[in-house]
Amino acid sequence: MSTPGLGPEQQSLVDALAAEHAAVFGYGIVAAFADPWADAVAEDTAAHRARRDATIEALHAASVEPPVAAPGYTVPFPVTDPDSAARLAEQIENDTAVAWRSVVERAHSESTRGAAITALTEAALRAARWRVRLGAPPSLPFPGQP
Amino acid sequence: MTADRSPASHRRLSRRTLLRWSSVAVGGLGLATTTACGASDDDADRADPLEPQIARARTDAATATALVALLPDSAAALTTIAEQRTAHADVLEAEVARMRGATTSFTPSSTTPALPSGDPPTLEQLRERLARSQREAADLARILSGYRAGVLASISAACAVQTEVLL
Repeated sequence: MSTPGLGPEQQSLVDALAAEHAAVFGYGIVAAFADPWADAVAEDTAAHRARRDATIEALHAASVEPPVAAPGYTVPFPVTDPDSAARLAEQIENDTAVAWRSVVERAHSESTRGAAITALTEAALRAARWRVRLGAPPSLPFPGQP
Repeated sequence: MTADRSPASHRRLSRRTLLRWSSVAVGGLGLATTTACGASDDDADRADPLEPQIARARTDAATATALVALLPDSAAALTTIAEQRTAHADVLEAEVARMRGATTSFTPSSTTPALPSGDPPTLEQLRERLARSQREAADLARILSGYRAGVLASISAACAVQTEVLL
Protein backbone atom coordinates (compact mmCIF):
# COMPACT_ATOMS: atom_id res chain seq x y z
CA MET A 1 0.00 0.00 0.00
CA SER A 2 1.42 3.36 -0.95
CA THR A 3 0.68 6.61 0.76
CA PRO A 4 1.21 9.85 -1.14
CA GLY A 5 3.71 12.29 0.28
CA LEU A 6 5.98 9.78 1.96
CA GLY A 7 9.69 9.46 1.35
CA PRO A 8 11.18 6.07 0.43
CA GLU A 9 12.27 5.25 4.00
CA GLN A 10 8.84 6.08 5.44
CA GLN A 11 7.06 4.18 2.66
CA SER A 12 9.25 1.13 3.26
CA LEU A 13 8.38 1.26 6.98
CA VAL A 14 4.66 1.55 6.13
CA ASP A 15 5.04 -1.54 3.90
CA ALA A 16 6.93 -3.40 6.65
CA LEU A 17 4.19 -2.51 9.14
CA ALA A 18 1.59 -3.93 6.73
CA ALA A 19 3.65 -7.15 6.59
CA GLU A 20 3.82 -7.28 10.40
CA HIS A 21 0.03 -6.74 10.69
CA ALA A 22 -0.45 -9.62 8.23
CA ALA A 23 2.01 -11.74 10.22
CA VAL A 24 0.13 -11.22 13.51
CA PHE A 25 -3.13 -12.14 11.76
CA GLY A 26 -1.55 -15.15 10.04
CA TYR A 27 -0.07 -16.54 13.24
CA GLY A 28 -3.60 -16.59 14.64
CA ILE A 29 -4.46 -19.16 11.97
CA VAL A 30 -1.17 -21.00 12.51
CA ALA A 31 -1.98 -21.21 16.24
CA ALA A 32 -5.31 -22.92 15.54
CA PHE A 33 -3.63 -25.85 13.76
CA ALA A 34 0.01 -26.05 14.90
CA ASP A 35 -0.61 -27.84 18.21
CA PRO A 36 2.72 -29.69 18.20
CA TRP A 37 4.59 -26.38 18.12
CA ALA A 38 2.43 -24.25 20.42
CA ASP A 39 5.47 -22.80 22.25
CA ALA A 40 7.15 -21.74 19.01
CA VAL A 41 3.91 -20.19 17.77
CA ALA A 42 3.52 -18.18 20.99
CA GLU A 43 7.12 -16.99 20.84
CA ASP A 44 6.96 -16.04 17.15
CA THR A 45 3.61 -14.27 17.58
CA ALA A 46 5.04 -12.22 20.46
CA ALA A 47 8.06 -11.32 18.32
CA HIS A 48 5.84 -10.04 15.50
CA ARG A 49 3.67 -8.06 17.92
CA ALA A 50 6.80 -6.43 19.38
CA ARG A 51 8.14 -5.63 15.91
CA ARG A 52 4.75 -4.26 14.85
CA ASP A 53 4.58 -1.98 17.90
CA ALA A 54 8.17 -0.78 17.43
CA THR A 55 7.41 0.03 13.79
CA ILE A 56 4.27 1.95 14.78
CA GLU A 57 6.40 3.95 17.22
CA ALA A 58 9.03 4.64 14.58
CA LEU A 59 6.35 5.93 12.19
CA HIS A 60 4.81 8.11 14.91
CA ALA A 61 8.27 9.51 15.63
CA ALA A 62 8.55 10.38 11.92
CA SER A 63 5.10 12.08 12.07
CA VAL A 64 3.60 9.43 9.79
CA GLU A 65 0.16 8.04 10.63
CA PRO A 66 0.75 4.27 10.86
CA PRO A 67 -1.75 2.19 8.84
CA VAL A 68 -4.06 -0.04 10.89
CA ALA A 69 -4.44 -3.75 10.23
CA ALA A 70 -6.79 -4.81 7.42
CA PRO A 71 -10.12 -6.29 8.61
CA GLY A 72 -9.16 -9.60 7.03
CA TYR A 73 -6.43 -11.24 4.98
CA THR A 74 -6.39 -13.80 2.20
CA VAL A 75 -4.48 -16.90 3.21
CA PRO A 76 -2.51 -18.21 0.21
CA PHE A 77 -3.53 -21.87 0.69
CA PRO A 78 -5.95 -23.77 2.95
CA VAL A 79 -4.61 -24.37 6.44
CA THR A 80 -6.12 -27.57 7.82
CA ASP A 81 -3.42 -29.38 9.82
CA PRO A 82 -0.05 -28.86 11.56
CA ASP A 83 1.86 -29.29 8.30
CA SER A 84 -0.04 -26.63 6.36
CA ALA A 85 0.08 -24.38 9.44
CA ALA A 86 3.87 -24.70 9.53
CA ARG A 87 4.03 -23.90 5.83
CA LEU A 88 1.97 -20.76 6.43
CA ALA A 89 4.29 -19.75 9.28
CA GLU A 90 7.29 -20.22 7.00
CA GLN A 91 5.65 -18.12 4.31
CA ILE A 92 4.82 -15.37 6.83
CA GLU A 93 8.49 -15.27 7.84
CA ASN A 94 9.65 -15.14 4.24
CA ASP A 95 7.20 -12.30 3.52
CA THR A 96 8.34 -10.26 6.51
CA ALA A 97 12.00 -10.92 5.62
CA VAL A 98 11.34 -9.47 2.14
CA ALA A 99 9.65 -6.41 3.67
CA TRP A 100 12.58 -5.75 6.03
CA ARG A 101 15.20 -6.27 3.33
CA SER A 102 13.33 -3.60 1.39
CA VAL A 103 13.58 -1.26 4.39
CA VAL A 104 17.35 -1.90 4.48
CA GLU A 105 17.59 -0.89 0.82
CA ARG A 106 15.36 2.18 1.01
CA ALA A 107 16.27 3.59 4.43
CA HIS A 108 18.29 6.78 4.66
CA SER A 109 19.19 6.62 8.33
CA GLU A 110 21.69 4.24 9.83
CA SER A 111 19.41 3.57 12.80
CA THR A 112 16.50 2.49 10.57
CA ARG A 113 18.83 0.27 8.55
CA GLY A 114 20.18 -1.26 11.76
CA ALA A 115 16.69 -2.06 13.05
CA ALA A 116 15.72 -3.50 9.65
CA ILE A 117 18.82 -5.74 9.56
CA THR A 118 17.87 -7.12 12.98
CA ALA A 119 14.24 -7.66 11.88
CA LEU A 120 15.39 -9.40 8.68
CA THR A 121 17.78 -11.65 10.62
CA GLU A 122 15.12 -12.62 13.16
CA ALA A 123 12.60 -13.45 10.41
CA ALA A 124 15.25 -15.55 8.61
CA LEU A 125 15.94 -17.49 11.83
CA ARG A 126 12.25 -18.15 12.44
CA ALA A 127 11.74 -19.20 8.79
CA ALA A 128 14.68 -21.62 9.05
CA ARG A 129 13.28 -23.16 12.25
CA TRP A 130 9.89 -23.67 10.59
CA ARG A 131 11.62 -25.36 7.67
CA VAL A 132 13.39 -27.67 10.13
CA ARG A 133 10.00 -28.52 11.70
CA LEU A 134 8.68 -29.27 8.20
CA GLY A 135 11.67 -31.52 7.46
CA ALA A 136 12.64 -29.21 4.60
CA PRO A 137 16.16 -28.00 3.75
CA PRO A 138 16.60 -25.42 6.49
CA SER A 139 18.02 -22.39 4.83
CA LEU A 140 18.21 -20.04 1.89
CA PRO A 141 21.41 -18.33 0.70
CA PHE A 142 19.83 -14.85 0.60
CA PRO A 143 16.97 -14.50 3.11
CA GLY A 144 14.63 -11.65 2.23
CA GLN A 145 15.76 -11.43 -1.39
CA PRO A 146 12.54 -11.24 -3.39
CA MET B 1 -0.66 -12.74 2.83
CA THR B 2 -2.58 -9.96 1.22
CA ALA B 3 -5.08 -7.58 2.72
CA ASP B 4 -8.65 -8.34 1.67
CA ARG B 5 -9.76 -4.78 1.43
CA SER B 6 -7.63 -3.63 -1.45
CA PRO B 7 -9.21 -4.49 -4.81
CA ALA B 8 -6.85 -5.70 -7.53
CA SER B 9 -6.96 -2.40 -9.40
CA HIS B 10 -5.97 -0.55 -6.28
CA ARG B 11 -3.14 -2.90 -5.70
CA ARG B 12 -1.83 -2.33 -9.22
CA LEU B 13 -2.03 1.41 -8.72
CA SER B 14 -0.22 1.08 -5.42
CA ARG B 15 2.45 -0.98 -7.08
CA ARG B 16 2.99 1.75 -9.66
CA THR B 17 3.18 4.40 -7.01
CA LEU B 18 5.65 2.23 -5.18
CA LEU B 19 7.77 1.92 -8.31
CA ARG B 20 7.65 5.66 -8.72
CA TRP B 21 9.02 6.05 -5.23
CA SER B 22 11.63 3.45 -5.94
CA SER B 23 12.82 5.35 -8.99
CA VAL B 24 13.02 8.52 -6.91
CA ALA B 25 15.19 6.57 -4.50
CA VAL B 26 17.34 5.20 -7.30
CA GLY B 27 17.63 8.69 -8.79
CA GLY B 28 18.80 10.06 -5.50
CA LEU B 29 21.22 7.24 -5.12
CA GLY B 30 22.56 7.76 -8.63
CA LEU B 31 23.32 11.34 -7.77
CA ALA B 32 25.10 10.31 -4.61
CA THR B 33 27.09 7.72 -6.52
CA THR B 34 28.12 10.23 -9.17
CA THR B 35 29.30 12.63 -6.50
CA ALA B 36 31.21 9.89 -4.76
CA CYS B 37 32.88 8.83 -8.02
CA GLY B 38 33.82 12.41 -8.77
CA ALA B 39 35.49 12.72 -5.41
CA SER B 40 37.52 9.59 -5.85
CA ASP B 41 38.66 10.07 -9.45
CA ASP B 42 42.27 10.51 -8.40
CA ASP B 43 42.02 7.39 -6.31
CA ALA B 44 40.51 5.07 -8.88
CA ASP B 45 42.00 1.87 -7.59
CA ARG B 46 40.89 2.38 -4.02
CA ALA B 47 39.69 -0.95 -2.66
CA ASP B 48 35.97 -1.67 -2.76
CA PRO B 49 34.60 -2.02 0.80
CA LEU B 50 32.94 -5.30 -0.27
CA GLU B 51 36.28 -6.97 -1.01
CA PRO B 52 37.11 -8.07 2.55
CA GLN B 53 33.65 -9.67 2.71
CA ILE B 54 34.37 -11.62 -0.48
CA ALA B 55 37.59 -12.97 1.03
CA ARG B 56 35.79 -13.87 4.28
CA ALA B 57 33.06 -15.72 2.40
CA ARG B 58 35.59 -17.74 0.36
CA THR B 59 37.57 -18.70 3.45
CA ASP B 60 34.38 -19.63 5.34
CA ALA B 61 33.40 -21.85 2.39
CA ALA B 62 36.86 -23.49 2.30
CA THR B 63 36.77 -24.05 6.06
CA ALA B 64 33.34 -25.70 5.85
CA THR B 65 34.49 -27.87 2.94
CA ALA B 66 37.61 -28.97 4.85
CA LEU B 67 35.39 -29.96 7.79
CA VAL B 68 33.13 -32.20 5.69
CA ALA B 69 35.78 -34.94 5.59
CA LEU B 70 36.49 -34.61 9.32
CA LEU B 71 32.86 -34.53 10.48
CA PRO B 72 30.80 -36.78 8.19
CA ASP B 73 27.82 -36.55 10.55
CA SER B 74 27.55 -32.83 9.85
CA ALA B 75 28.32 -33.17 6.15
CA ALA B 76 24.90 -31.96 4.94
CA ALA B 77 24.97 -28.74 6.99
CA LEU B 78 28.64 -28.09 6.19
CA THR B 79 28.04 -28.59 2.47
CA THR B 80 25.09 -26.17 2.56
CA ILE B 81 27.25 -23.60 4.38
CA ALA B 82 30.06 -24.01 1.84
CA GLU B 83 27.61 -23.56 -1.05
CA GLN B 84 25.94 -20.52 0.52
CA ARG B 85 29.19 -18.75 1.40
CA THR B 86 30.41 -19.40 -2.16
CA ALA B 87 27.18 -17.90 -3.50
CA HIS B 88 27.73 -14.88 -1.22
CA ALA B 89 31.26 -14.39 -2.54
CA ASP B 90 30.07 -14.70 -6.16
CA VAL B 91 27.28 -12.16 -5.75
CA LEU B 92 29.56 -9.65 -3.99
CA GLU B 93 32.22 -10.15 -6.65
CA ALA B 94 29.66 -9.44 -9.38
CA GLU B 95 28.63 -6.25 -7.55
CA VAL B 96 32.26 -5.09 -7.22
CA ALA B 97 32.75 -5.74 -10.94
CA ARG B 98 29.53 -3.88 -11.81
CA MET B 99 30.64 -0.88 -9.76
CA ARG B 100 34.03 -0.82 -11.47
CA GLY B 101 32.19 -0.53 -14.76
CA ALA B 102 31.39 -2.84 -17.60
CA THR B 103 34.40 -1.56 -19.55
CA THR B 104 36.88 -3.14 -17.19
CA SER B 105 37.14 -6.78 -18.09
CA PHE B 106 36.35 -8.94 -15.15
CA THR B 107 37.79 -12.37 -14.52
CA PRO B 108 36.16 -14.22 -11.67
CA SER B 109 38.81 -15.31 -9.25
CA SER B 110 39.28 -19.03 -9.51
CA THR B 111 41.99 -19.11 -6.89
CA THR B 112 41.41 -21.41 -3.96
CA PRO B 113 41.50 -19.35 -0.79
CA ALA B 114 44.19 -20.32 1.64
CA LEU B 115 42.87 -21.86 4.80
CA PRO B 116 44.28 -20.46 8.00
CA SER B 117 47.51 -22.41 8.27
CA GLY B 118 48.32 -24.93 10.97
CA ASP B 119 46.04 -27.53 12.46
CA PRO B 120 42.93 -28.73 10.63
CA PRO B 121 39.92 -26.50 11.34
CA THR B 122 37.44 -27.29 14.08
CA LEU B 123 33.67 -26.84 14.15
CA GLU B 124 34.15 -24.24 16.87
CA GLN B 125 36.45 -22.21 14.60
CA LEU B 126 33.89 -22.31 11.80
CA ARG B 127 31.19 -21.20 14.20
CA GLU B 128 33.34 -18.26 15.35
CA ARG B 129 34.22 -17.33 11.77
CA LEU B 130 30.55 -17.33 10.73
CA ALA B 131 29.50 -15.30 13.78
CA ARG B 132 32.11 -12.70 12.85
CA SER B 133 31.02 -12.81 9.19
CA GLN B 134 27.45 -12.13 10.34
CA ARG B 135 28.59 -9.10 12.40
CA GLU B 136 30.88 -7.68 9.73
CA ALA B 137 28.26 -7.94 6.96
CA ALA B 138 25.66 -6.27 9.22
CA ASP B 139 28.07 -3.48 10.26
CA LEU B 140 28.89 -2.75 6.62
CA ALA B 141 25.22 -2.93 5.56
CA ARG B 142 24.41 -0.28 8.16
CA ILE B 143 26.74 2.29 6.57
CA LEU B 144 26.02 1.46 2.92
CA SER B 145 22.73 1.91 1.07
CA GLY B 146 20.53 0.51 -1.68
CA TYR B 147 21.30 -2.90 -3.16
CA ARG B 148 24.70 -3.13 -1.45
CA ALA B 149 23.15 -2.66 1.99
CA GLY B 150 20.34 -5.09 1.12
CA VAL B 151 22.50 -7.92 -0.14
CA LEU B 152 24.88 -7.59 2.83
CA ALA B 153 21.89 -7.70 5.20
CA SER B 154 20.66 -10.91 3.55
CA ILE B 155 24.18 -12.38 3.76
CA SER B 156 24.39 -11.44 7.44
CA ALA B 157 21.01 -13.11 8.08
CA ALA B 158 22.16 -16.24 6.23
CA CYS B 159 25.27 -16.45 8.44
CA ALA B 160 23.05 -16.14 11.53
CA VAL B 161 20.96 -19.08 10.32
CA GLN B 162 24.14 -21.06 9.61
CA THR B 163 25.45 -20.73 13.17
CA GLU B 164 22.15 -20.84 15.04
CA VAL B 165 20.09 -23.34 13.05
CA LEU B 166 22.32 -25.31 10.68
CA LEU B 167 25.25 -26.11 12.98
